[in-house]
Amino acid sequence: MKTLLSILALASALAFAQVVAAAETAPDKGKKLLPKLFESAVADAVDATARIQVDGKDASLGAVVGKTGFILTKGSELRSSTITVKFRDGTSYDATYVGYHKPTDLALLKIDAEDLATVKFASAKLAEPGNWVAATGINSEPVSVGIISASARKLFGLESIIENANKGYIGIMFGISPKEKDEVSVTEVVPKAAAAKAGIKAGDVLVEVAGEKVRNRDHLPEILDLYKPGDKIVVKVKRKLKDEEETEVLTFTVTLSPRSDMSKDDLANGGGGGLSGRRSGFPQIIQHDTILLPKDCGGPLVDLDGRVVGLNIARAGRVETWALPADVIAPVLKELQDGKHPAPKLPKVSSKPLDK
Amino acid sequence: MISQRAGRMSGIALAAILFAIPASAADIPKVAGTAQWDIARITSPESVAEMKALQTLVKQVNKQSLSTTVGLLIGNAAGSGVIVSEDGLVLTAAHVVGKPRQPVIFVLSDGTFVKGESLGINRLADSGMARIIDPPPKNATWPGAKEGKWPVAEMGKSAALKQYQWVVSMGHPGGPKQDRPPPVRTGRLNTKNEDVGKIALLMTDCTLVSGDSGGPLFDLSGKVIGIHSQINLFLIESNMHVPIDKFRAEWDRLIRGDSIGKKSDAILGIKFDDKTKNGAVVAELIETSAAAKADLAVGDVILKFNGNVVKAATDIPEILSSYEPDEKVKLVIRRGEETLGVEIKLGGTKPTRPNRRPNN
Repeated sequence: MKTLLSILALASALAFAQVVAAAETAPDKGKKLLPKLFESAVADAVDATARIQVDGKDASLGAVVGKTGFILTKGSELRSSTITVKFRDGTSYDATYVGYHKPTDLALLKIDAEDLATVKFASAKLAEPGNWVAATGINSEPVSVGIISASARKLFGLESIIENANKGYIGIMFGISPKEKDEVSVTEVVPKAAAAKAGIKAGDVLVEVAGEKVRNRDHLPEILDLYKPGDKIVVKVKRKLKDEEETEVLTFTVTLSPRSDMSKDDLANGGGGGLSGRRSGFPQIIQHDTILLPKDCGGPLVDLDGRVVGLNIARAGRVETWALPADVIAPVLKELQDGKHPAPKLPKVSSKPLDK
Repeated sequence: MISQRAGRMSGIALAAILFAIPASAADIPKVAGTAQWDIARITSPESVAEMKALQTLVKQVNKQSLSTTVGLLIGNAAGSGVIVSEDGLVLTAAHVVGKPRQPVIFVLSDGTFVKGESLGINRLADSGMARIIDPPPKNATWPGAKEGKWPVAEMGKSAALKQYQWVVSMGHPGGPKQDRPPPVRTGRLNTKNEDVGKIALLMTDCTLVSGDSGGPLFDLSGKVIGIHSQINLFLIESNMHVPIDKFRAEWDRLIRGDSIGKKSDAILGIKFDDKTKNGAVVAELIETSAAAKADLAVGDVILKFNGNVVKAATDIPEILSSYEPDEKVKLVIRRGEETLGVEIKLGGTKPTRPNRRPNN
């Protein structure tokens, strides 16, 4: 049987040690001197790298793909339509959001420019495991350096699901109730997480979540996608009265939990600056061990020969950053430029946490 | 060829030596500035050429170790391991294996599953062994496959390691994934030279995460020098591995299927004086712990633990391993001139099964 089990409780005593004496740094500062050695290899790519800011705050990096001002970046980091683009030479532009392709999470932006340096993507075959790579920013030294851990691959199982993993979680497992086909019924409540703390129990049927009537099981993740851990939402459930066929409707205020409350496995992915919200569900990715902050994703990944082997698309875990290979980017870029994927409707300024 | 010593000189001096080599067809390297990387070197590369030399070694270790690095599936848990003998002996972590003589599914780098069983473990050291029982798959191409032999990762000596030496990590972070051979990572050893060989775990900045447990840490010659064990949740540069020498020290017991040093979930809450030779002397009582709640004081010497004679603080973990959280135990202690009896209800939490991850 080649198919892997879809859910594994990992040997997660990858034991969480007590805080040990902080690691001593090497006399030459560990790997911190490596970015300098990459300077000449990344020079061209840096000219074609953009810093993307949303509402004046760093949101992502981007790659210039058209000399008149087309730029690719990580779309899920763009929370409002107030987007600014900055380059190494200090120039700054307002950007319009042209299109968004959800499976790759690629957003196409347009600025009013002429004759910009553009990125030339190289074949993913060049991204061999063990090769040094660097993530460029808008400084002459790359943001971070690491090695290719695994060459371009398709994603399967949980890694292939598109979701915002930094959203707030309710902490329930659900199924379809046997009696009513479309009813979403709670089969299990995660101990000590949001729903459990609020008083929701196994057997409850979800009626309304955050003001929306729950249509079916796919609807629930959609409703919750915009919320963050700590946000309070109102949940209405139908519960069977004791020993009777009748049900009553109960209302709970649920304070959403972070993903790490759902299972111990996720705790291990902390440290190192956090993970990208959208960190799964891409058509293909190249994996490398470069430590990158979520706000530094979206830009070029370059090897020691200066070849741009991919576009960093997610900080996916403690050990991994993912890049989209060129073969995936090229056709999507064309579709975006042809207007096949509209940009999402965004507020002018990022919304504050909802407080229903 | 530039001697290995030259690698430690400044970048400028190295360049000067390269240009000074008399031109002769046989001598001039194909690419100007090719360098060699000394496997035991403890500094960072100082040029692109040196980065490429280091890269060459890392890629070699990766290629060699693809066939020997395996995933392990035991019950609901997933971890990693490395094959160290032709008949399929696998080194892994105790907490991956759990108990001796459990059925194990091994996942080869191309995704093929083969069956085997767990052998011995040392739960305090976190070392563990398992063995593959199935023969190599029919399409296996490594030398000896047709004769039923497994590929072997040679074991190095962890006591010979030097602080800041470059290392390579293999394993299955997040559990084995379809179409993903074990991802390779590189980093450096951070354990001080004087601690190598003495302390229980090696520390490197090769990032590890759940699923990597039991996987191999290699030196740049491709020899196994550690087995992944723990991480510091908050420090990404703090990743810990069982030194390979620990496996050697208990080899026969591990093969035999012994369960060594079962780590208890029971917590006493005492920090002992680690410098004294006068027995188990209480140095500190951990706040809100079992010991703090009982009638113990700093300076007390523990003479007996539920009838077990205690000669030194290091006896305690082994004795504690027979007890569970919430059990009541009787200690006999010496306080100044008096000998007293103290009853303690042990702290700690009984282990629970990890949950399936909920979808919302």
